[in-house]
Amino acid sequence: MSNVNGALEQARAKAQELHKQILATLGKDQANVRANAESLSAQAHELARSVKGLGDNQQADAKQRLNDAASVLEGLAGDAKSLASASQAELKAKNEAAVHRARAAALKLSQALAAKRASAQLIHS
Amino acid sequence: MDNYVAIVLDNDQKSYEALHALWNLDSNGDVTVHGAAVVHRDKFGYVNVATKDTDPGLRTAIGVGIGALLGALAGPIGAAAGASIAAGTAAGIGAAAGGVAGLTADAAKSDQHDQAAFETDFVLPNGKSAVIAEVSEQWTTPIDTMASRFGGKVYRRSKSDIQNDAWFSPDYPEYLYPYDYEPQYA
Repeated sequence: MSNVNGALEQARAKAQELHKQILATLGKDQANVRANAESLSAQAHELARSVKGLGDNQQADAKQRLNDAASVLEGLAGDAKSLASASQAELKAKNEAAVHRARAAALKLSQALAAKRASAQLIHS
Repeated sequence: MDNYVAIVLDNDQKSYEALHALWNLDSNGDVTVHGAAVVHRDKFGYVNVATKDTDPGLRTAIGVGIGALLGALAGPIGAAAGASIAAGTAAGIGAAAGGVAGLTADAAKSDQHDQAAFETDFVLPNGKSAVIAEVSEQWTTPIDTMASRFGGKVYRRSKSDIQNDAWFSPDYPEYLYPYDYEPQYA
């Protein structure tokens, strides 16, 4: 797991953790997935809110990626919530969609972090 | 610069250690790792991805995606070196590499296997393991130095270069793990 010194690092770590949690539910029984759905949705929604707030202090490139990440996380919150009411037939596809969305959120945050680090290195060089 | 890298190592253990070392570079802020996975090529030429998932469908998807990414990393080198293989067929080669990675030996057609073996051999010879990763790096020294510590060889292509390849699919890097993980083979 990455270090979590900065707010952006923390946000990425939380998105990585969400990906881990959703991945872990793949292949599990419906009751287990449903039991976790509300919690995952709430975590994604909270992270989206927190990520939106981070954009104000970043350069344009990082800011754009953070906005993208927040949108993806809101979508993930919806995906996760829909797992609670999904039929058995729908569950696998919806769960996989949530995994992809969590991966996309982690990637956007990782890209924002890279942009921030590149900017900091330019300033120090 | 945004790059895809393959760090080719002698065995699985070294790959696991290199994977963790790569994420340590990320933790230190030396590079930013967007995703990484460990793959192994057995003595018969079949590529397996070390995942942490037990779901068979996802394992196959991961195999297809990362196998294809491996083919994309070889890219023009494989196409240029293969006198009998035109550059335009590289799409098929990359896809075949993915198929071989994700499926059992008897499920892959022999001609696909031959093509995949040809292409990926430039990056991952039989019996070797590798860490495949998508990274942002300001300079190549941190990863190159880390790889040399494990006796590894680094292959690197820019993300934009790979994305411009006719056969690239944005789904390929989807299956790289966005964090450090404990690799396991099926």
